[in-house]
Amino acid sequence: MVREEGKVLYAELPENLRQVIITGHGSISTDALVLLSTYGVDLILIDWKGKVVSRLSAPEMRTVFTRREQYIAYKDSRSGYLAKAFVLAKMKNQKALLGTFAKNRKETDSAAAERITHFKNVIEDLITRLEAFEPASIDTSRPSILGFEGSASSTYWDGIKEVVPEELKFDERSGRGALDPFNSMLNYGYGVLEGETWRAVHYAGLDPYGGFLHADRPGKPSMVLDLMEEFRQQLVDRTVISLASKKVVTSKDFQIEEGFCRLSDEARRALLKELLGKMEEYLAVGEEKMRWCDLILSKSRDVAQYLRGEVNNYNGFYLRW
Amino acid sequence: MYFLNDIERKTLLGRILPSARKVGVSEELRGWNWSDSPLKPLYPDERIPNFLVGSQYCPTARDVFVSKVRGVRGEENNHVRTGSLLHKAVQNVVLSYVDEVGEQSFEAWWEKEGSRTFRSSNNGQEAQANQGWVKSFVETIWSQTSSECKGALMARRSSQPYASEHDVHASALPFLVEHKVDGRLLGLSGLLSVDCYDYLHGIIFDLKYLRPRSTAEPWRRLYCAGYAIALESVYEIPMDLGCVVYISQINGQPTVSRDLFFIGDDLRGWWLEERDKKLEIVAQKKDPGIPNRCYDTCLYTKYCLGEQK
Repeated sequence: MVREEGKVLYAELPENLRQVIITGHGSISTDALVLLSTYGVDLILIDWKGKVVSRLSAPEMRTVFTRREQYIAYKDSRSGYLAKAFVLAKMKNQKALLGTFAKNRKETDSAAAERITHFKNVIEDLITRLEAFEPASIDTSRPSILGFEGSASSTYWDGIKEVVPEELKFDERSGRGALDPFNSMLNYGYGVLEGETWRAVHYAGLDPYGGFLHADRPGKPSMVLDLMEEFRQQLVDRTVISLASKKVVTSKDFQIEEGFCRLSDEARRALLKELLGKMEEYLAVGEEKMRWCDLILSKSRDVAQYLRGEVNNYNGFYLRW
Repeated sequence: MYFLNDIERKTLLGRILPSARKVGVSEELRGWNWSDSPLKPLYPDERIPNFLVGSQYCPTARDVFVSKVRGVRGEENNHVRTGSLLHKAVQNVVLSYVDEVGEQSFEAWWEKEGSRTFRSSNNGQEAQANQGWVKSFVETIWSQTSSECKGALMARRSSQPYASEHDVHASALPFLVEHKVDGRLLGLSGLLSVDCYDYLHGIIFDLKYLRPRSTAEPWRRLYCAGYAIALESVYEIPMDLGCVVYISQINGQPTVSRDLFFIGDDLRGWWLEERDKKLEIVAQKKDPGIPNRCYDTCLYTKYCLGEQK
């Protein structure tokens, strides 16, 4: 139950919840925390920069076997194989999204469509080359895989620049501590995705910190960041671009604070509503229809199954348009 | 060729149809939305045949560039000849029953069609050496198809004694064979030819002659996906089922197997990706380059490799 000055704003049964995201100020009772934990509902806190600052979840229920295999896999070719699969799926989504934007602009702005198509084709070429790459253990393969990932990403953002309204002053992709509205929205969106992916990784029995593509660093949830790669474009980028194009969010929704660009509460709510709504939407994946949030969980379980040796391969998620 | 066996029927009713109904197809990927993205072709003035969209033989799709931009006619080989004759034979037999003409003589047909194919071959010796084997292979498929049609007609007649002869044929053999459909709304040729459309069960069939030891790869489903979207664009009704009929040989014996599937979003999206890529090659006259490894029965190998020298 959510109250403000004694007035009930929102009430929901815990079994209907998947995750509670706290963004902004407020307090939560310990009874509510226990209730959420009992029902396996995660609670995450995201700050205004889009950083997940706290995360509460039910105790680990899985066996240690998955995690043990995850650590062993770091030293063998499974780590390189998974890192390649994550990046390959990411690049395919980048290519698909640029293809969609080019197609949509063909009649209204053919010059922009041509330029976007060019970027899409560059990524397509990188995909072909990465597909031919034979990965070994991640320590050996990381420079090459990151090389492909870096080239594709820089090309992708050059393409995205063509579709972002000029007033949002998007020049290049920057991580946390964004200086422009568009990056600020992306960072916030990735924070929400990180929370959702973290939940999925946790319930799949994986160690959120034991990643492959992202190098080990204290406090860095590398496995979460690894798995997130294949969901960034279709979930977050597409949503943020759509909000910006429809002018739901404009330059007036931002202000510079502590030297960084900060979203207004209204803009943050609009983005959150859109993203969380999308998580509940259904999409067809092979012969199944599932929600986006269930898809993330399903892919986490696929990774765990691959690591445990129950299946021989892992195919990253991507959409073709 | 176009009759499902017991196991395939069970698979269709127990797995594919329920799954297709549950999952469904995104509205934007239905052929009748041809005027909107993503179905709307990027280059509305270009046309390519559906077989070039689906073909994945050439890893770089240079076959599209060579045939459509350079206008090169591929060099026919024994594999292509055999495949073409198999198509013609199956078409001939099924149509003879659909049209209520009845059983035809294989020898008479071969004399006309088979011999002519080999006579017109530009690779005389190689073609002649294979003629006997191809004839016997095609004849077996001919007989099998004929028996299937005869059996279906008899079964229908015996179960519906008051049905007219036309009704018996239309329901026992619900096949539009070599059905012509206009694919121009999707950037395809205006003269597409679907191997077979089963109008009672809503299945699009595509016949493929597979080389020995070849495997039934998933991309071969793209042909049916293209025809399904094209049929939807013209008739505005859903086309959800596809079936690739593989004719191959095991120990010299003709073997038929079928790959039955739901034409869902994944497959449609893949087809769109291929169509856009190949239309771009044609529209922009873009040479995608010679692949590192060529398919051994590719019609353009000599042309490409000759150019490379």
